[in-house]
Amino acid sequence: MKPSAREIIEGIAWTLDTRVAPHATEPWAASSLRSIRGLLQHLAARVEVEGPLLAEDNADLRRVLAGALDRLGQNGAAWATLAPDVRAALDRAWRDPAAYPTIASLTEENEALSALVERLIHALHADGLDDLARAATMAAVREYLARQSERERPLYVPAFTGPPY
Amino acid sequence: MVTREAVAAYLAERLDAPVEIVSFQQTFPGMSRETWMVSAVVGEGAARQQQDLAVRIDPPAGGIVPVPLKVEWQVFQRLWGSPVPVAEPLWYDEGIEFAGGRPHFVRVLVEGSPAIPGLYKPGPEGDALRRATAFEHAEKLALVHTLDWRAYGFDEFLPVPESPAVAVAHDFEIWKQHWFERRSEPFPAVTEIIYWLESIMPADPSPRISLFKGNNGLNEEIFRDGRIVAMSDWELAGLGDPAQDWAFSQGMLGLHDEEETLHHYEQAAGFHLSRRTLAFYKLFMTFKAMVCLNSPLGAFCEGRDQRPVLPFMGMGSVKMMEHSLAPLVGMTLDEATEAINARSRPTDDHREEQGLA
Repeated sequence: MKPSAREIIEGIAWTLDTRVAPHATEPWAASSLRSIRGLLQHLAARVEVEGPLLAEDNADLRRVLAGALDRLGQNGAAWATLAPDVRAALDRAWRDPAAYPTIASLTEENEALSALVERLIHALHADGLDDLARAATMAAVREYLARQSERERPLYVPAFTGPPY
Repeated sequence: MVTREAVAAYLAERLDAPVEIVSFQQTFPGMSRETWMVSAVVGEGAARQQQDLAVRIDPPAGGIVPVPLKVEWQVFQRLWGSPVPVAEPLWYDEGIEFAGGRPHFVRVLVEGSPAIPGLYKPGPEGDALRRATAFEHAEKLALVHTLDWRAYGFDEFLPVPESPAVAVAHDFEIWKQHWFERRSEPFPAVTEIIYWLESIMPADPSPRISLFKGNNGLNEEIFRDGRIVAMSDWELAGLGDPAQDWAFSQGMLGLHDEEETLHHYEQAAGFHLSRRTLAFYKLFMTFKAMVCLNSPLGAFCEGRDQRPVLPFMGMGSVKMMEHSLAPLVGMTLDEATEAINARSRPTDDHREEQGLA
């Protein structure tokens, strides 16, 4: 039996809280400890869920982008420019299917797909799209954003609800 | 971080006199830029005199706000000698040996304090102090907002909106551009928030194009004997709608009845402030804060500034702000304002805890 990463991080946080913080009375030292406390809480959550969370978010992003391709056709200049990039990203093999998906590769995919959804939002606010297709795609994007917010919430709450410094 | 010895040597060189540092302390908080309060004895023999100075320095990877320190220096330069109370600016420099070449400026330290003793004391005495503090701030903001900024040369270094009718939109464009140039990664939810904010921007024309202070209010100004003797921290100053200063006044509007405070300000300023523009700026300020807090995250990731507060604010606080604004997308300005107010209203449980039920 060995301690998990989360248990080690929580042990460090406990030590800082009980053994170090009472002696760190200088304002900048105490402030740094408050920031570190939040970051350790974040890490304790992140170390366990980051991989599955990124994988789930990537799958969700893919569904949103594929849905946009289905609905929006070739209308609108902004979308017409974006659509080939969306197709390329959806077709791309982001990693060797036989290899263990590293956090780095999942993050790379996540940032690339998120950037495309960002561009999709710009395209949805531009002229030239069919109103019904635009509304349906916008609704799909907003539903994704709500799911994403809920999904990542454990990474940020309660870690960042205290004073930042 | 600069050392006491380095500051002593630098001041001696600039003041061309021996300098003995009596006290040397970095102000707290002050995450955006380092501000060092220095009390020194300058000169020798009969010419010895005490000088209290503030040395403001960019952090190693630059300030948190997306505005160069030199802009804030220019604001101080132009305000010195105007009706707006500020500390006397002495000099600006950058690219020299001191502080590793970081941009910095030196100004006189004004006697006083950002703290106001008794401000939160319950009862009539506290109420009177809170009212007087809010009114004093209102009068000083009115001085800032009615300043003839062209006469003082602010249009030589600050972007000027085309007209009062587009002042808010002008400011919004500047910050939108900062966001898309500086954000650490794609933030689809923030992109949607930006479009929503644009859609609820009130059409009310600004009363005038004013010099605004940016960060202002409680803990941002120097008080002495109940009066503001120096307005500090001008790093977010600009030209635009004056309502934004009230939206970013750090709780000043909560000290006393909000409408009475604003009415006092309007009497001093001589114009009416759109309450809708003020409500919009309360939301817009959250976005501005996100821009500022997220900007330095790159410096942390690259190891140029390793303070733990940077990922806390740049990643964590920004996400908390995103999660706060995202549920409002699609609402009207009135609905969003009501939703924000409802969040800050005490619940029945809280009221019971506080003995209010």
